[in-house]
Amino acid sequence: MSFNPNIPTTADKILQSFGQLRANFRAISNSFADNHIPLNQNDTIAGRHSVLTMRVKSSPVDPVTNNTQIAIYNKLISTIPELFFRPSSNGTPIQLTYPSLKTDSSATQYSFVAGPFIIYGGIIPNVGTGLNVNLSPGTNLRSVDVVLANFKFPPGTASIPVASATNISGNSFDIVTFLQPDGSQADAYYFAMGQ
Amino acid sequence: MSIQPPTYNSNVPQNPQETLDDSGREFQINFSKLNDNFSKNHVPLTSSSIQGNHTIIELVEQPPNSGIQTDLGEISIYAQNVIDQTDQIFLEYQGNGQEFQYTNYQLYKPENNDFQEKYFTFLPGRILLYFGVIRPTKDAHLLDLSPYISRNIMSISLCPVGITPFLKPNISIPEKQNGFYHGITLEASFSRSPGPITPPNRTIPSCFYMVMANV
Repeated sequence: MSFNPNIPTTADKILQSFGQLRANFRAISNSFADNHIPLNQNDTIAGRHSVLTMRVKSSPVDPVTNNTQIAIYNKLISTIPELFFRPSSNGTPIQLTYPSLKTDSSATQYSFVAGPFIIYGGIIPNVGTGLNVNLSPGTNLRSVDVVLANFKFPPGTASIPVASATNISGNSFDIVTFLQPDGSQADAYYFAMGQ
Repeated sequence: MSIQPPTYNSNVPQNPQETLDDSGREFQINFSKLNDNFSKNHVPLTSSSIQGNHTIIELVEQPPNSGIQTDLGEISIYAQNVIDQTDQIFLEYQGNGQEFQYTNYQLYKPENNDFQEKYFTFLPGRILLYFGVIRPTKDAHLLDLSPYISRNIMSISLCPVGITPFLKPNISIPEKQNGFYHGITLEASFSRSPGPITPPNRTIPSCFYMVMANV
């Protein structure tokens, strides 16, 4: 039976459930105040959310969605809660978050995109050829790119070096450069995606 | 004298001696307020099905250091104002764990020019991802990074395109302007004459580019 906002009416019997009714109204108010602007606040925003606390959904783990619904929910991946998106019509669930990220303007950073895939980026100052790079957290790298920058040329240098990634395995790759043995120096930016 | 609109009252009924004649109006106000406010962001209680599901989620800005409580097994999602941006979505992981900015800035289409087709998006953690295409132009050598809100260049990727293999352009990073990077200087690879890097003396090949930056 659906909710009826128009009860009780003045024609109803004398009130006999004082305690229970008051307890219900209090419980409703207290529960609603979790995650929401409270019921007794400003009418223009009451009912909107202050925060969304997403708890792990027990069963079914992935919610059912019909052709006019999508769902965002919390699902445990190896005991770690992650946000998921399920498209309409019970589409394939997509993990939106990764357990951590490191974005702090330092030389090695990582973030993530839905999948999830980890996006690594960083700079290696004064790179040398054959340098092995191990990215953390460990994943299987799906894409790697290396770009040289900030060249320092000794006088008379007539060629400009390039670099590439090789021996890509797991979370590791090597940088190969053609820096001339004449004192040329360069930094290397790397970009990688892991899964 | 102004009349205050009725509000939800958790202390209804007021006392056990009340009759429905006394408290019926307060009951109606409470049920009505509950119904009205629940209808914001949710399928109304009066709906015949899926009542309680969300229709939209409007997040009211939370003050800094608001002490969001995230217990084990939970993830919190909330909105906070970000200096030089607008209200953005933040996440906090379980057990009051790692907290980070999930969305970033405003997405719009930067203005293209003959040399560069520009796009940008974001990654969680205050990272802007610039990407697009640069096309050969004799005189152009600056890969523009608008909007100019990048405080640190985190990574650069370049991929020459075309039927003839080209080497990647060489890169140097100009000084910041007012604390922000505005672009990246490119120079065509191959052999060069000794001397300063700029101005370039060769045409830069067409390249797809991607630049990650901290904002």
